[in-house]
Amino acid sequence: MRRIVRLARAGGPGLAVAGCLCVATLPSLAAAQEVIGINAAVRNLVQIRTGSAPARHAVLRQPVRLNDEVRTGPASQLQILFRDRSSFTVGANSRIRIDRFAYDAPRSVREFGGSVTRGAFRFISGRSFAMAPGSRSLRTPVATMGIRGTILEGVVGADAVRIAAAESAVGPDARSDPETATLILLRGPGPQAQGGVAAGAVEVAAGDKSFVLDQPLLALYVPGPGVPPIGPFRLSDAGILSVEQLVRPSPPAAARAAASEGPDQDRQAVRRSIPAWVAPLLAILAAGFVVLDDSDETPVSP
Amino acid sequence: MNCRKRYLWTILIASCLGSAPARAQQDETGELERLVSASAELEPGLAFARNQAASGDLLGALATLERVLIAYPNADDARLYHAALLCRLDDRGGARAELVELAGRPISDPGWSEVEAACGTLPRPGPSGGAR
Repeated sequence: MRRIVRLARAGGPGLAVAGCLCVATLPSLAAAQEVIGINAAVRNLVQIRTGSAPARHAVLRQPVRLNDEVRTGPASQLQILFRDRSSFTVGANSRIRIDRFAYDAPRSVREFGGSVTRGAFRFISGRSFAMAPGSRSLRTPVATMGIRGTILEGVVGADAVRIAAAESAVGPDARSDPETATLILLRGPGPQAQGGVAAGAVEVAAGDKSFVLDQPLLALYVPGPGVPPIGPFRLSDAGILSVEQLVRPSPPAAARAAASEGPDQDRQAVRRSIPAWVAPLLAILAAGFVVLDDSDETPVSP
Repeated sequence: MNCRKRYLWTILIASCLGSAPARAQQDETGELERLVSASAELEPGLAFARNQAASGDLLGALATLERVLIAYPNADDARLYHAALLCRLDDRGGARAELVELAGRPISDPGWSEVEAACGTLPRPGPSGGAR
């Protein structure tokens, strides 16, 4: 306060008012500093954790910050819309983190980096992002993808193994790690895209090899750490549909999910409504019954 | 203006200029909220995606439709338009996958015409689940 008074004396009231305004806006500016996007669509159970804070349920329009960790439950999806208009859709049972993001349109600064440790995702470049140079990459436990203005899909884990096993290029006998196996699929834009949209491509590095996916529906399967990647190959229509259904609900699957999840959600709601002290009390009572029961059944020696 | 006053004004102007990127971020997130609001409801969301595509932002339209379909998985018209957009982005395989999802559901003639205009000849999903 003394400083503001001193400012007023030294620079006049205008300077003091300007100083107050700057100081007043500092906290909100600091809070906005790490925001990289917002939750643009949320379906069912999606949790976001910032730093060491407890995970919170994702809410529509909620800011997403650098290094937030996203986890989705069964039949759940989240779309994050980033400041550069890129979007990242996370499918069911997934875990992702965006750990690098920079966007400054006037200075042509565009960077994006993240990791997917489990589940399915789709990345769609923003229009400005697609046309501008910059460093964008996504990592899975066994592959790193360099993104060149594109629509990219990926699956990590058991679903990747299942989808790849049905492809003739891979087959059911491939040795895969169900925790880390990664299926990467370029969806587009292709060279025949309309509206002047540039064709996309993905450079995939896995182990000591690198591959380029530069045609729509080209896929690469990385079965696990230290296992040679398989592909690129053209993913079948059935494979495309399987990936699609992981990233986004389809009409019949959505209906099934709603039918199967309702009771689960009800049970969770009931669980949440029971006070925490009830469980230990029930355990003590149950133990008492067991003791009593035991004493009743003590065999009587003849 | 004396020297000290000029010095203080310089500091203030510099600090305010320094906070310009943060203000730009706030503007950008405000714009994102506008985009999300525009796609929060089915019909306005579909109309918004059409406007984006008409202005040449096919990727933006695709992301908008994805939001709509996450919120409204049974929105067949949105799914049909999504298939048309995929064809315009040279992803005919993705469009075929969308049409498989529509098998057994009623498909409007205008919606199908839009798909054919973008994709060319494709088997139209029949009402009983197969192509017709």
